[in-house]
Amino acid sequence: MTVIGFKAYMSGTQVVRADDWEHLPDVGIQVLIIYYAETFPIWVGDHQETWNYKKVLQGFDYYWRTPDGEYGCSSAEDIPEGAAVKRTGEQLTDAGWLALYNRALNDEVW
Amino acid sequence: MANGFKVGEFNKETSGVANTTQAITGVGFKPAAIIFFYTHLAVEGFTNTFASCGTGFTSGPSNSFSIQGGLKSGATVGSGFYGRMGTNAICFNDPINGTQNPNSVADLVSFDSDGFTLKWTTSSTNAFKIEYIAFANAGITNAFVGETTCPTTAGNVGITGVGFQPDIIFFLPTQNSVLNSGDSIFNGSLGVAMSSSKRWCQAPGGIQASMTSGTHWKTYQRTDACLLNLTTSGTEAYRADLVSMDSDGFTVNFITPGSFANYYGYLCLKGGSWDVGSFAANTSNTAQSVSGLAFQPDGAILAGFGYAASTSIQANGVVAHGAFDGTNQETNWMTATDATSSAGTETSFVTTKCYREGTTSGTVSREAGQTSLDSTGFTITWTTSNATAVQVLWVAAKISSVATTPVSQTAVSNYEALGFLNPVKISLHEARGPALNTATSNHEAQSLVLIGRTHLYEAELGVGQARTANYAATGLITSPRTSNYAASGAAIQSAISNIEAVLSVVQARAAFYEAELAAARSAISNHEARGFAAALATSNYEALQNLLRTAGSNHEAIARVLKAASSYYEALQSLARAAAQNYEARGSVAGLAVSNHEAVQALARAAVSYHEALQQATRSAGSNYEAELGIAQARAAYYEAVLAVGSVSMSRISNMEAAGPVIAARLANMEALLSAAGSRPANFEALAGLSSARVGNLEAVATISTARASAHEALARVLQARVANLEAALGISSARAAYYEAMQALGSVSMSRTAYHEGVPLVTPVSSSRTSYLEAISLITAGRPSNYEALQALLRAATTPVEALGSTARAATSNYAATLTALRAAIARYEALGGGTVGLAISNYEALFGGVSAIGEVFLQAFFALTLSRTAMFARDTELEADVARTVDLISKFNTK
Repeated sequence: MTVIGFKAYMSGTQVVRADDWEHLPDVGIQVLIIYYAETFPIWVGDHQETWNYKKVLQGFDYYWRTPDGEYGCSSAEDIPEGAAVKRTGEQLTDAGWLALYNRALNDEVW
Repeated sequence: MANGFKVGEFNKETSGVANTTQAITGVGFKPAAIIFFYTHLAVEGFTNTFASCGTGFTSGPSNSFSIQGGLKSGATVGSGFYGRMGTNAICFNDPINGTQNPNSVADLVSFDSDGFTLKWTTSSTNAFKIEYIAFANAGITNAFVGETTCPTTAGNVGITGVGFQPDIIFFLPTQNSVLNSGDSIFNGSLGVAMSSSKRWCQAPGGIQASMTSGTHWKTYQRTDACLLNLTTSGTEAYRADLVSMDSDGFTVNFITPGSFANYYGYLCLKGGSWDVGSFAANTSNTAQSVSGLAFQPDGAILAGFGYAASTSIQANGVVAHGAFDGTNQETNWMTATDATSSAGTETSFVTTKCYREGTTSGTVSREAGQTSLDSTGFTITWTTSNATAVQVLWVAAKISSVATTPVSQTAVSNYEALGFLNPVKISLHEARGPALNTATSNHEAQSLVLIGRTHLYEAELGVGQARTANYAATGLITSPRTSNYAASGAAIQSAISNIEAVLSVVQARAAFYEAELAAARSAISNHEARGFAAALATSNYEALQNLLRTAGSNHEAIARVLKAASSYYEALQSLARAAAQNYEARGSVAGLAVSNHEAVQALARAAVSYHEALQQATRSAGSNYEAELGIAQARAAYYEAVLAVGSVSMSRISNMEAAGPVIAARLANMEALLSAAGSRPANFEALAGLSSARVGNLEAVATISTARASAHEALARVLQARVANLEAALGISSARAAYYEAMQALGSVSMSRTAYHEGVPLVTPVSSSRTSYLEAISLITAGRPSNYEALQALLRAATTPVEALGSTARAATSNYAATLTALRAAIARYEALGGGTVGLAISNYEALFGGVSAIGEVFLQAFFALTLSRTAMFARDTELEADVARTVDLISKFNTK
């Protein structure tokens, strides 16, 4: 699949939109969404929409991209060798984190 | 139990002995598939010692999948969560005892006529209550339970091996990637899908958090996905939507792929009528109806997560499942608290409600019971409600419990049958297309032939008309007085013009109807094309209807053509009859003169040609009986005209008969002269008169001979006329026979028309054609006596001239006898005159001899006898010897000449 951009949901209310990995913040990313060029139709309510495939990364302390273009998140010991790395920021409360996550979950548009 | 959707419940057997079977009865029918809902409760009520829910599918022995999640009260990080899934109909973990080991596991042994039989491969003494929804085998044509793993990459995934195209699929998503295993996770998801727009899924998730210190209990429910589950972090583990129902399974699109290849199970059903939806629950204790379904359901399944509609993951939600069938209802629910170090839990089930939500405090927060199954939906009534318009998911079904095809399936079968029938019809129409084209080509070729024949007949008609005109002119020249011929010619021309007009009209109508036929054929081709296109849709029927309508128009056009042809033939028949009457009239006029009759004959022949042309022209249109009738009538007129020629011969005979008295008068004159001469024998003038009288007698004899010759000639002509009359009579008889045959044929035409009218009820009444037929028969019967009468008249006419000839011959004989008497008298007078008159007499005889040269042998003999008589009388007179010698010499000379 072809990556067309990223959205980083930060510890505060900020959301950083970037079309390149290098432009994303290095620290403070709570949820990272990778958007792909590929789309699919989906019925939402009483109408059909076209959504891009996306991948939501969260739940671990480090986000990374391998030299061959794979993306993921893991704890420190599982970071692939040679990967470019971004870090998670502060730990949020369950409610705060869930609200932020749900925003990212429903952010279908790049 | 009238429907094939049964909600029931039973308690697990409690022997604790593995492989114990348990038969469940009272279902009311043999199931095709069952969905089980269960908790760890054995009796109705509440428990706060654990939260649990489980769901199982089975469509037959070794064709099951089930999940179960449990959360023990007071669970903390690293303990208290239990989940299980596997290819069993029912599975229980063991939150009661705080272990991940299975408490009880059952497989389906059989579907029975009034229920089903389970075998508890792992058993316990716990009498857990198990609720079920059974779907009747009579209404479900196919059922299949399978399991597979979710992909780790996004996109479509096709599931095959189901064996049929499902109408509906129930899903059981799990967080397990190892089949038939337990784990410290919670499995409680349920999804359903009918199409890419009718689907829903709920996903409770309980995990022993590794990220936070508290217990995570989340719920997640969406109506734009059919597969959904949560991760051990309480986030979306995977999400998929239905793309299509396929012939051997289905295709789902994984919008969010799994990080792990977690299993999900599915129950595919085909048969019955189904619908899927959701509604926002009333916030007061009122009835709430769901409507708009295409059928009256036999029952419904309800599910909820305790929140209003949202695509977000919720904390502290519930898992509620319920069902009702109009008689029975069941519901169970569970909940837990999120983000606490020690989870509060609550579970309950009740068989007097179809939906319930509650709190961890053991209170009911929302509850409803079934009210009715309506013609297009169902109604429940909220008996406990709150201010949150929670989203309630539902599945409604109509499933027959008897072996009849559900309405929707009948419709599908009909459409499938149409799918097979329509190509067959299309093939037939395609086959008919070339056939029609061939028929059209044939008809076009026939049309060309007919047009050529028509031209030929028109040319023949023109020749006949020219002949008629010529003969009419001949008749006029021959007999200027008979102006009837001119009238007849004009009548014929008028009739010809009428026929030409009728032909033009009929041809125009035929061209019109042919154009209609061509248009109809074109329409047929168009509809065939439509039929082709419509083969992909049910609109083929409309095309078929149009085809039938077009075929009807085609037949109507054909009927109109036939009707026009009938009118055409009727017009021809009337014209032919009128022409025959004209000819008969002319036959009467022709009796005036031979030449006139000849002209009439010619006219009749022309009319014959004309009718023959009409006959050919009519035959080209399919019926020539009317023209044959005209020909027969024309031939009759012709023979009647020939008969009139016989009358002319009779006229000549009358003339010859009239000549007899003239001769007699001349003889009387001569006798008077002889008398005058006898009174004065010495008078040379008297002698001269006597000589002249003799000459006159000779002339009279000559005239008589001439008359006799004429009489013979007349006799010959009479005989010829008689022959001609007989031939004419024969011809008339034959013609009338032909006429009667034609009439019979016309009768056949009438019968054909009768058949035609019977076939086409809206045209001329059948009785009218039958009457025409009977009238034709009557005319034939009436015509036969006339024919015999005509023959008798002919015979009489042929006899009369012969009789007249006999009279003429007798008159001629009398004339000869009178002549001989007169001659003898003259001789006697001559002898009385004495010798003085002999020389003059000899001179007169010489003169007579010169006049007699052209007379026949009989007269000569008479004259010779007279001479001999005179010689005998004058022999005594020597003075006459020289004269006798001279007379002999004269006779010698006469003989020499």
